[in-house]
Amino acid sequence: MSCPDWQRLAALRERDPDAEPPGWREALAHLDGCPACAAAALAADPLLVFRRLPRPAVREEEVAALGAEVLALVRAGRREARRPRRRGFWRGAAAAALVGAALLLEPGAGALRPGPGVTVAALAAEPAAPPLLDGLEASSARVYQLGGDGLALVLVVDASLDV
Amino acid sequence: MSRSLPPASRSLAARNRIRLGCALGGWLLLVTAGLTGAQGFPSPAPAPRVLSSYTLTLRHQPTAEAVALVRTLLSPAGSVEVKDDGRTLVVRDELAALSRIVGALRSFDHPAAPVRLSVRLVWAGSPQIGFGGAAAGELDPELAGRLRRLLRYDSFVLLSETRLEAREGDEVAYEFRSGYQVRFRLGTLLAGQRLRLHGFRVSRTQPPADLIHTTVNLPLAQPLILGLTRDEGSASALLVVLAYEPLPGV
Repeated sequence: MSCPDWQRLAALRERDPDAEPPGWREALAHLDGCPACAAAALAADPLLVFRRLPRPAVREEEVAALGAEVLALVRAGRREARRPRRRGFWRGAAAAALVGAALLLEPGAGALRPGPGVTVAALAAEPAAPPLLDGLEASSARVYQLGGDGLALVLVVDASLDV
Repeated sequence: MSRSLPPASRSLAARNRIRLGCALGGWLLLVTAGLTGAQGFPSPAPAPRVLSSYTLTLRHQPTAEAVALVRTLLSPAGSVEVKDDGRTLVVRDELAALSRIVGALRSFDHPAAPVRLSVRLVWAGSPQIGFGGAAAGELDPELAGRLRRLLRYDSFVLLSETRLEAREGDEVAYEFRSGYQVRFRLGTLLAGQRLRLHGFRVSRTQPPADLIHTTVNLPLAQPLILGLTRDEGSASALLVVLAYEPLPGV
């Protein structure tokens, strides 16, 4: 057998790693006995250097066990993240103070009023900005939301629009 | 009488001391672990969530909009309920979330505020096809320049323009001379920053045809341009340019 075209074979294998391109087995047999091909083959596919490594079959149960282990680690990580910490107490106290302050600052609730530069609104977080269009009644429409240059722009594209 | 051991015996004694130390350490480790297990140090469980509640009877603004606002601020543990009178909200949530909701609801439930709206209809296209109808005037060159940078169109012709004054909750319908109609219901000004236009509908009057029906969230800081076109490569589009400003008295 003459030296095979390693670039072509490598390209075919890259396209579908599970498939064996025609002439692949013969090429590998040739590679084992042809020192001239070694450089070309490894340049085309460096993974060929591992071609003699044993490939142990992995059973489905092993894959499932590995998946279960990863899942257990993820859950353990979540539990760890939820662990109560000392700071939790201070956060709770701060939140209670905010609610208490908001209730006390209600007009008519008492003589306490916000000091200069302090407003209740500053304590209240803004809700997340909603989309510019909400609930478009045109199932086939495509909606593009663009922004920038001081403009909010929504482009509604629908073949049924007769503008 | 002192006893001296040969070097080999001294080395053996040293090794024995190390072995004894290791055994003792291991035993202590086992005993500690056993005691810890016996005393029951379970893996830390999530702390139970403490919910507080807040009740507010709305005086000015629609209940449905208040509920929608609260839902955007609830934590996963929170809930909102409307009492039988249809105007009283009961919000249950963690304190941190509740503090945000209390502030937002107080700001939301204000008396109906007046606003001024500007609605402009603009034809957008390329100079090659040109606009065949009657133009109402020139589009502000600065706005036209910004539109040119965002859209694929070069030519912008102002078809109609109006300024309307209305209050939150009002129904608005306006028919333009250019053959289009715009109708909507003004929602609530959210922290003075956004205005919802419910049932926002643009239609053509001749021949009658609905073009779009939606809800618009109009930002205060910038005009909203609503472009309507048949496909992405279309040579022209209808632009509805919306803007508002709160009037004194908000």
